[in-house]
Amino acid sequence: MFSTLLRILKFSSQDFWRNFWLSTATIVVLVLALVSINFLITLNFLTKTAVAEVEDKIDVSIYFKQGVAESDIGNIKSYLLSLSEVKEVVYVSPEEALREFEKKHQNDELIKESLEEVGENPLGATLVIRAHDTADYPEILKVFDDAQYANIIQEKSFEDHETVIKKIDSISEKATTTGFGIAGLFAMIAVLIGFNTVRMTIYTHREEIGVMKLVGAANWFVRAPYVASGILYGIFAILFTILITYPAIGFAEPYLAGFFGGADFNLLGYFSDNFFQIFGWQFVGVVLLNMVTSTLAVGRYLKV
Amino acid sequence: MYPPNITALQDVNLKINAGEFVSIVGQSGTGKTTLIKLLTAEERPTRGKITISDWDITKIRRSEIPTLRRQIGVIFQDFKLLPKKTIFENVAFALEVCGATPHRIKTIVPQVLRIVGLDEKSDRYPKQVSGGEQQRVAIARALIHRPKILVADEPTGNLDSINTREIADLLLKINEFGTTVILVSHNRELVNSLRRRVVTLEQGMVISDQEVGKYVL
Repeated sequence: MFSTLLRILKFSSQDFWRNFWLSTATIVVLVLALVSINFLITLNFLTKTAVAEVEDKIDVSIYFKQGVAESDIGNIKSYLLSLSEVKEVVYVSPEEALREFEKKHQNDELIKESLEEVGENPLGATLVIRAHDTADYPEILKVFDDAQYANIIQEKSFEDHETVIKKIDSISEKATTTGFGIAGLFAMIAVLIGFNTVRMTIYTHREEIGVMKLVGAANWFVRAPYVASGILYGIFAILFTILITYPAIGFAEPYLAGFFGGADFNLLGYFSDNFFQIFGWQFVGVVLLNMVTSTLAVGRYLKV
Repeated sequence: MYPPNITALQDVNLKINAGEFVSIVGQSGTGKTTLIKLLTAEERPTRGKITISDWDITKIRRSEIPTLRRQIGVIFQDFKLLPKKTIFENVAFALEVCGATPHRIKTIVPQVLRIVGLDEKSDRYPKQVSGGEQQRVAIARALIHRPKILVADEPTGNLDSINTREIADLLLKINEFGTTVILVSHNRELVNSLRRRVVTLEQGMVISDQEVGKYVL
């Protein structure tokens, strides 16, 4: 049993090296298919990062009326923080709000004069709420529909942002759906390319397969080295894909960061953190594909 | 019969005794190769019975075909060698398919290559030797199992007269050692020079079967 296995591995390795250019061509096509899948993974990551970056900049402000006790606002803040949808709540005191307002309008004489005329701080405290997901804002803000808050809340900024948030949610959802669709399409193309490449490789061996049968080889004995070669193609294809992907990402990352206006993303880190998910599944996929294709393709020429 | 309605062989009643040297002759398309393919189970007869020793191979199961082929040595006009294997590996392959140990392979293959005169060229690839030498490799491969029957389908078809003579002498030598040889050929000179049994086929039928025959067509 062990010697048969060694024999199959020997045949497979001989076939691989003695048909060097054919093996190389097969591996190159498989690598191209895998690189295109990784390119798509990159694109998907960038889209998600870009959408998340925009989403992260969105917050909702609750403006309280003047004179609302800080302790009441503190209670509301604590309650909001207890909600799982809420990521962060920042309390802005009336003094801070005024300072920010003055800073923002320091060149606007009319506003300056108006403030001087009023004499006292016209602004109330503010709670700035940030959700984990922009889709959660309506649910979070439902809290303030309660009648008890009607007398203390001056204004909510959500209505101003609602359209933008909905648009971003829609873009995010579409980007995810399109990403899955394109990934599926690419995967299908990659599978077809891989299938045909291995089939062509076996086709060039069809006469040898016939000879092996005429010499008295059993079907499995003819088939096994080709299946093993398929695994070997998969191993080399994934190795070369990794060797191409990492330097390519390293090269492209600074340009991408510039393109996205210095957005905080780490593509190399993403590939490293998900190394086994990305390349592990690609390896399993390509090896299974090669094994199945080799088994089927050799079968065609075994009827001797 | 081949579909749709082509009769390759009919009314063939042939008995070949152990140790015989039989030439099967006939013009192209008379069914010579079909007869060989029936013996190696590449084709199955529509009707009739084929027996080798006591083994009825008429309805042989697919799983038994490799066993049958390991007992019949076959050589072909186009040699059918594995181009990416060396001469040694080509011959060894016939042993490897039936699970021979590496030690046995290392012992037997050089012996058989010595018999066919190729022991010095065992590490060359088929394309690095002449046509006659390639055919001798094929003969070595066919002999490696010490088969009781050696079937040669136009073995000299691609060879010049010198190589043809060498191959014929080799086949005669193999026959002298007790192996039954079935030679399919349309080389008149070769068949006549052998002075052995000749079976002549015409339009799929045996028209002549002479104990010490000649190419009569």
